[in-house]
Order: sequence, then structure tokens, then C-alpha cells
Amino acid sequence: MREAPLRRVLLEDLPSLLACHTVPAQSADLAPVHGARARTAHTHAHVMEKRPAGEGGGEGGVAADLREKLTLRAGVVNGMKIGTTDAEVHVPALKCRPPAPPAPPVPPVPEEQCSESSQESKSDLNGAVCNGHTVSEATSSGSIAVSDTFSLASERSSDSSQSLCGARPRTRHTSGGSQGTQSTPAHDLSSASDSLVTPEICISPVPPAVAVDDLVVEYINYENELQMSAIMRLIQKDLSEPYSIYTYRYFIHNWPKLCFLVRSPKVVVPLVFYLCQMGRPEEAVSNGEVVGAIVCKLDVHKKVTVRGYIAMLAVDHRFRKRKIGSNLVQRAIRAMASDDADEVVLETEITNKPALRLYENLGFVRDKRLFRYYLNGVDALRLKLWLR
Amino acid sequence: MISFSDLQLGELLHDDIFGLFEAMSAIEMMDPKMDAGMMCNRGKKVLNFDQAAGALKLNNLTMEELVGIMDSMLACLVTWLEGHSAAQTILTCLYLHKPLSIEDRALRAFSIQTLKLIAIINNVVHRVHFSAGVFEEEDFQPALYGYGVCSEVSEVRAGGMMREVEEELQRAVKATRNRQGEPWDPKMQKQASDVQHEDAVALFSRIRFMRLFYAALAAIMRREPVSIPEAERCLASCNELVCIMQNTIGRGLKPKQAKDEEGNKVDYPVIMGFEPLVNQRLLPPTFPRYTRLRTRKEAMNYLEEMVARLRHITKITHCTSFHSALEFIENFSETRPCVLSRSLAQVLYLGGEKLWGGQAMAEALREAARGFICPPALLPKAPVMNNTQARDYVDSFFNRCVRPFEQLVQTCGHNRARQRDKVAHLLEEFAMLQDEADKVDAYLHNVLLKSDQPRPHLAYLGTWVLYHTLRLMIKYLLTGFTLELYAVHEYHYVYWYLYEFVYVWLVSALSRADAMLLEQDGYDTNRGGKSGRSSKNKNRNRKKHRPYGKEITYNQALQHLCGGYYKAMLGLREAGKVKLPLQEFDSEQVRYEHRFLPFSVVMTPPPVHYDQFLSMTDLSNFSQPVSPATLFHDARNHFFKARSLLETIHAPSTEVQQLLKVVKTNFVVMKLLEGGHKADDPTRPQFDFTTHPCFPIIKI
Repeated sequence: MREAPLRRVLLEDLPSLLACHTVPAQSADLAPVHGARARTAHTHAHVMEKRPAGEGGGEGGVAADLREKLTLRAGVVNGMKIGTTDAEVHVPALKCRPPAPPAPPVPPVPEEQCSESSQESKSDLNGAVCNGHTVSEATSSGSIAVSDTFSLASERSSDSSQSLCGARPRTRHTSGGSQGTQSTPAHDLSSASDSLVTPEICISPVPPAVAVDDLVVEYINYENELQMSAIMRLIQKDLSEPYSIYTYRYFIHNWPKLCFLVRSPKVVVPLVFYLCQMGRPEEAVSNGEVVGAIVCKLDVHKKVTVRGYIAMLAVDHRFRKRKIGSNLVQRAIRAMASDDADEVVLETEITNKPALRLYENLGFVRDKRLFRYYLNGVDALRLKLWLR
Repeated sequence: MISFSDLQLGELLHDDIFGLFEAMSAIEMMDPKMDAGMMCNRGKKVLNFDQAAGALKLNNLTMEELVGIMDSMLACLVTWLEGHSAAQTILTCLYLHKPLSIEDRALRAFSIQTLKLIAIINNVVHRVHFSAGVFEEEDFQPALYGYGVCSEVSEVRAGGMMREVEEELQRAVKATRNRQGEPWDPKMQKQASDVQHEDAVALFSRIRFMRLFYAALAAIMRREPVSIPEAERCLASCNELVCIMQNTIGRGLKPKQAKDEEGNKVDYPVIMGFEPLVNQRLLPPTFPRYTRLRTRKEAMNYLEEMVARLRHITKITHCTSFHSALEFIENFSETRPCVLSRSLAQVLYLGGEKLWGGQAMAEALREAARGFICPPALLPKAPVMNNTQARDYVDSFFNRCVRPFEQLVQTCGHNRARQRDKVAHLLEEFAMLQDEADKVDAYLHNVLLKSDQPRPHLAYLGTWVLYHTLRLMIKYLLTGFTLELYAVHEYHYVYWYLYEFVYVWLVSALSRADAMLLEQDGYDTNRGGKSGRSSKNKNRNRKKHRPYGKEITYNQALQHLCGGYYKAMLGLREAGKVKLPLQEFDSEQVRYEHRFLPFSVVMTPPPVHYDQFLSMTDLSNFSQPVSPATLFHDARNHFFKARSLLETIHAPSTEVQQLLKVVKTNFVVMKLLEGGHKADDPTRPQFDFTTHPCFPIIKI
């Protein structure tokens, strides 16, 4: 079974796939390919691979079923548009097979998910992917409209909770998470359509309604001490320097209004179930988990300027590249501005390019370089946003 | 007291005195990530010098052990010099805690000498020019946590001990080499004597290096004319010795690799005599700060470079004028030197009461101003100096100059990140100085016009101060590039400011100085002609033709270079190739005003406000609509002019050559852009600062 190790590698990165996609893939060998393209390509590749094996019966059907949901979920991460394109793309291939009766979930399933798999295996995978991509396009481009309806139908019938999830967050999407996804699709869509060479696929009318918004996160203000441990857990994962609980309390209790959290959506049950099945419960996102947080303070600096300070910002790695960080910062800045802040400052390592990009896009300026600021000897930059 | 049940969920008792510092310093006890004390409770026991008694050999150390211990000590020393705490570096060596208990003579002498070296380094860095050192907490940590530097033994005695050991070893070296009457050949099969010889050479070179390095520092610190050649000799030997040391690192005992990765992170493999955690409890009780020690090889390379740096800074003693010394220190600062060499340069030049060469600062500045623009009032035997009040004015002006110019020199001694802040403060000082200079000029002008040889005295001292102010402004703006502070969407106004104002002013200040010097030469020639020395003066006159010609050309080239960047950035913005920040919080005006805020205190040149920037750069000013192509065309012309100017510079420096490469490449890029190359390509241009830290090569 040559497939087995491949699959394992792929599965390993399922969460990171869920998390990060708005920006082109980070790794070197994926660099020329856009994230979205890589993902759809994988879909095809594995569909192709699966076909001979799955022909026989139940296994393939379940695979299809689960994969479908998962693909949708993955697509959703990027926002609506991408999700639908994904569905369009992978479903045609599916359609060739007769829908099989649901069977107990078996492991060999949704490898097609994962584009950004771990480094070594990636290159050969990509090779396979390219082939798969073209072939499946060739075979499938004919009957997309049908397949769409099929996918929708199967979606609804197979799992009611899925469609529920789809329906509910939609309202949320417009209110809370809208910024999160709004800016990305434009960018992503273009590249996605780039990648889908066959125009038929791009233009095919797809109702974007289903199960698309189920990963829309929720932005909330800090409420009470009960959230403290979740915040600490989230932040400690990423920070090199451990803070005691007093540090968190210092900021959060003094300026609770400047602490914003991101809660994960009410999550698709099958995925959680699946990950638990795979022995990877830690990757499953439980309902309403804190997946992002920003902690700030605001006080008078040198007796003249009202200075806001962003002390900590963290986004769960599974939810990155979705502008969550940027949205959190924007919320914090707005809150500080309404409290008459003159400026907002923070420090970050000079090597932390994503953070620098995030803040610079919001108008922050690199005010100072702090020589060997961190314990690891790395220089820091003091970033500043003047509000007046 | 409130009881637990009185508090609501999330309510906390909070004392006002418990602020951020306390919160950040608080630790969760027993958490090994935070509680420094916990580090010592895990794994093997941490021993100090006395506890280690048995395990720590004090006598009969093998050559291998000696070389290994010395190299590890040097590695610790280097790590300390790079800004780490002594407690976690050099003071982890147990031998340095009680050097007098060591029985082995070589190790004892070396340990004592090391302590003396630590003391003198502390002295150099800490005490530079009275109180104002050129180090910050990130550069250097002088604290020795109560450990002595073996004051029982005098420096002379320590040197003597080293010399004794050295002579002994030298005999051993000679004995092992001369036995076969031929020079040692590494290719020959190694015999016992060869090994012995190699060991002796390794040990000898380390002992001698340590002694000479210390002697060099001590000689420099004496600041006597005779001590500098002595220091140079010592350092030259050190340079050779470091090479031998580098080649003999392998002779030293190596630490055994830990069997597995268990245990403490700090618990790196060490050899006898080193205990990484011995001072852990002396550190503040916050989380442990790991210090990664330099490897022996890195340490040797560092020492080699440091010796080279010290040899370089002794050359500051050849600088005869203030301007040349300032330039020397500025150029040295460009190389990002270590804190020790930076401090030594300051000690050497600014040193005690007088500058190097025995001049007082005020005197040196008077000479500098005379050399720069030759104000008539500063000429030797200038008649105006008979006027007591005029003389007083001039004297007090130069006394007033002392502090800002000292600070100017010191600023160049700081690390590059701090220099920028200090420049901003210096600009205030120089703005006040400018005011004063203008007043003195005006007074002298009045006096001179009434004298029997009427001569104008307008803006002489003023131009001199202005020249320094402008250089500071340029330094302030350009360090923004070297420190990577500007975002791409800010480039246009930074380069615009340099192009439209700062370099223009600088060129005009230099041209004025140039003209004034020539004029003065003319006076001299006329007077010289009367006394029959005209031929001699003519020669000098020809030679001194346009004394600032080169500097003017160079700055004109930079002005065009900045103009080129400005136009290029404008073109790229127009073409939509520069990513702009989100509108909601960003304001270009606010950014602009803060970026040029330090200039607001300067009256000459007057600050340029944002609305002026807008009106001057408004593209609708042009008669025809401006397309990106026309902007790229302009940029190309600027780069071309910069290139032709740079090419006229005789004997170009490395920097000029780098600039030439930059302008040539950018010229071609502009041509491509002008022709619409990649016009539809949405990828943004890259700015490559590898050729020159301030003037990037634009890549599309």
C-alpha cells in the first residue's frame, strides 16, 4: 500500500489547512502555486487515486461522503467563494461513482483535504497532484451542473447537522465575522480561478448557500475570569517568554474592554468525530473554543500622550491567515481611539514578518529599532500608530 | 479584609503598588519555566568551588585540560562581551572564583590575568569620558555579582606571573622543536615529541595572547604618545597568536556530549571547572534567562576580529583635526563594532581633560571652523581680535560648542539603533548653536565693516554649524533605512525631503565654504604678492583649487539619486504598485509629521510642512497630465545625472562604487518601467538593500 504513508502525512496537516489559506502557501515548494490551487489539485489527485480502490463499494462511498464535507469545510475557511469553487471542482469526479450507502467511518478517507502537508513529502505529492489535476478536469468538466445539484442534495440528506451549521452562522457572517472574510475572497477568488484552467468550472452557477459559513468565527469582548485560562493557554502556546497569571490579570483586569477574543464556530460534528477517531483529538476544535485573543492597555505616557499598548496578540495556528489577527487589532484600536488614545504602540521581533505585515497594513510605522530586545538576542521593532 | 465569598466572579483584590513590573516579575513557584531556583533542583547537583573540591583538579592538569579550560574561558569572555550577564558566562568558571587556590602555575596566572582583563574591560566600557559611556544595557552588562577580580594580586604582579609561565613554556617549545634540529612539520608522523611540542605551542600562545592583550588595553588606556606604538606592537603579536590559537583549538579537552536531551536546557556539556548554573540564584527571581555560549571556534574568530578592530582604532591618533577624527569615528561606527572597541575609540579621542594630542575641545573646534570656512575673525592675528568684546564673543561661542560637539562624537560611539534617538536630541542642541553662531557672525560683521580693512563677516560660523546640522539631518533620515524602519509606502516622502531640501542645503553650504576658502586664498595671494612670495602661493593655490569639489559632487550625486527614487516611487504609486495601508487608521499627514518631527526644532533649514509637501508634489501642478511613464522617465534622468556625477569622482571609494552599481541598475529598471515592461504585472517591486544600506536596487 503505497498510499498509506502519503495519507498519514497529509492528514497530519489537516488542521493547518483549515487554518491558513488566504495567503499563498508558505512553504518553498508550494510557493509558485497558490494555496487554493494546491488544495483543489490535491482533491483531484486523490480522487483519481481512489477510484480503482473505491470501485468496490462501501469504503469509497463513505470516503466520498466524508471528503465532501471536509472539502467544504476547508473551502469555507477561505470564505464563501472558495468553498463553492472547491465543491464544484471536486464533485464532478465524485459523481462518476454511484453514491454508496453510508457505512461506519473508516480511516482511509479525506486525504484530499490537505494541501500544505509537511515538507519532505510535499514535493512528490505535488507531482502527483499536477497529473491528477489535469486528468480529472478532463474527465469531469462536462457535467458540472448536475454534479452540483448532486452535491447539494447529498449534503442535505446525508447529514442534517451539516446543513444546520450552514444555515445558522450565515447570519453571524454578516454581523460579526464579515470583515474576516470580506477582504480575502477578492484576492483568493482571483487566484482560484487562475488555477482552474477550464472556464466551465469557474462560471458554473453554484448556490453558495450551503454549509459555507460554518467556520465563521465570533468576536467577543472579554467577559470574565472563566475565560482567563483559555486565553493563557492560547497565548502561551506561541510566546517564547512565559508570563505568570499576574501579567495577564494586570492587563485584562485593568483594561477588560481592550481585551477581545475570537471564539470558534459551533463546529461540524463529523470532523471532530473523525479527528478523534484518528487519534488526534487535540486538533479538533471544540465548540466555542477561544482561538484568538488580543490583550491591551491604555494609559498616559510621559504625562502627555495617551498611549495604547498592544501587549499580546495570538491566533490559534489552525485559524491563521484569515485576517483574524488584523480584525482583533482593528477592534482594539477602535476601542482605544474611542477612549482618546493618541497613539498605539507595540513591539515585535524584526524577524516576525507576518506580524510586521499585519500592522503595517493598518498604518503602523516602525518607530524605533530596539537592539537585542528579546532574550534570544533578536532585535525588536517598536511599531507605532499615531491616531492624531 | 474581604473574605473570599464577598468577591464576585472575576473580582480581584488589587493593590495599587502591584503594577506591571511586579506582575511581570511575579513567578509561579516551582514552575521550572519561571522559577529560576527550580533549575538547580533538577538533574545533577550544582557545585561551587569549595563543594567541587575533589572533582576540581587544582594541580597536575594535563596539557589537554589546560588548553580546554582556557579556550572555554575565552568563549565565556566573548559571550560576556556580546552583552550577556557575567553570571551566566565568564563567572560560570569555578577557577575564576578562587584563582589563588589553584596550584597549577599556568592556570593560576591565566585565571588571575583573565580577572584583570575583566576589570580593565569594565573600566574601559563603564568609565568612558567620565560618566557618559557609550553602552546601553543591551550592549554590555558590567555587573560582577560580588565576585572579586583578585585585587590581592597587583596588575604588575599578575603580568609578572604570566611572563614567568610564558618563559617556561617558551623553553618547552624550543626544547621540543629543536630536538631534531628541524622545524616542525605537520605532515610528519606524529611522535610523542611532536605532540608535546604542539601542546606547548598551544598553551604558550594562549598565555602570551592573554598577557599581550591585557597589555595593549592598558597601554591604550594610558593615552600617552609612547603607549600607542606599544599597544600596536602588542596587538600585532596578538593577531599572530590568535591564528595559532585557532589552529590549536583541537588540542583542548572537549566536553563530552550529553547522552540524551533530558534535563535542563541550560545543562549544556561542559568540561571540568565550569558550572553553568552556579550563579543561577544570583539572578533576579524571574524566569531563567538562557545564555547560549559561543563555541570555541566562534570565540577565536571574535577575538581575531576584535584585535583587528583595536588595531584600527589606534589609528585615530593619526587624526590631526576634529573633522577627521569625527569622520574616523563615524566610519568606524558604520562597521557595527563591538562595545569594547567603540568605547576605546572614545577613550582615546575624548579621553580625559584634553582631546588626543593635548588640545582642548574648544581649541580644536576653533581650528575646525577655521579649516572649514576660514572666518576672517579666526585668522591668526586677526585685527578684530583686539576688540575685547569680539574676542569674548568668539571665545564663548566655542566654549558653548564644546558640549554639543562632544555629544556628537559620543553619539557615533553608541550602537546604531540608539544613535538615531540621540541624533534627534542633538538636533535641538545644534539648533541653539546655530542661533548663537548667527548672532556672533552678525556682531563680527558690524565690527569688521567699521575696521580699517573692511570685510564682510556674514554666515561664516553659521555655515559651519549648518554644515553639521545638515549632516545630522541626513544621518537621521538615512539611519531609518539602515535600521529598516521605513515601509515602502513611506519611501517617497523620505527621498523627497532629502532631494528637495537637505542635500540642496548641504551642497549650498559646501559651495559657500568652498567660495570663502578661495576668497581667503585670494586675500593671501594678494598680500603674499606684495611680500614677494607669489610663486609659492600660486602653487598652493592651484593645488587647493575647489577644496570641497569632491564632497560637493558626491552630495550632488546623492541629491539626484534621491530625486530618482522619489520620482520612481511616485511612478510606482501611480501605477498602483505600492501597497497602501488601510484607510481607517492611516493618515499620511500624521506619518509625515512624525517622521520629520525632530526637524521641527531646527530653524535653518526651516522645517517643511506636510501641506508644502502636498502642494509641491501635487501632480496636477504639471501642465500636462502625468503618467507613470513620465515619472519613470524623470527618475531615469535623475539616476543618469547621479551616475555622471559619481563617475567624475577621482579615485572612487568603495561606497562610491556601490552607489555606481545602484544607479546603473536603477537606470535600466526605470527604462524598462518607462517602456511599460511588466505594466500589467500586479507583483510589487522589491527593494534590495544588499548593495547599499540606504539606496536600494529596485527590482521588478
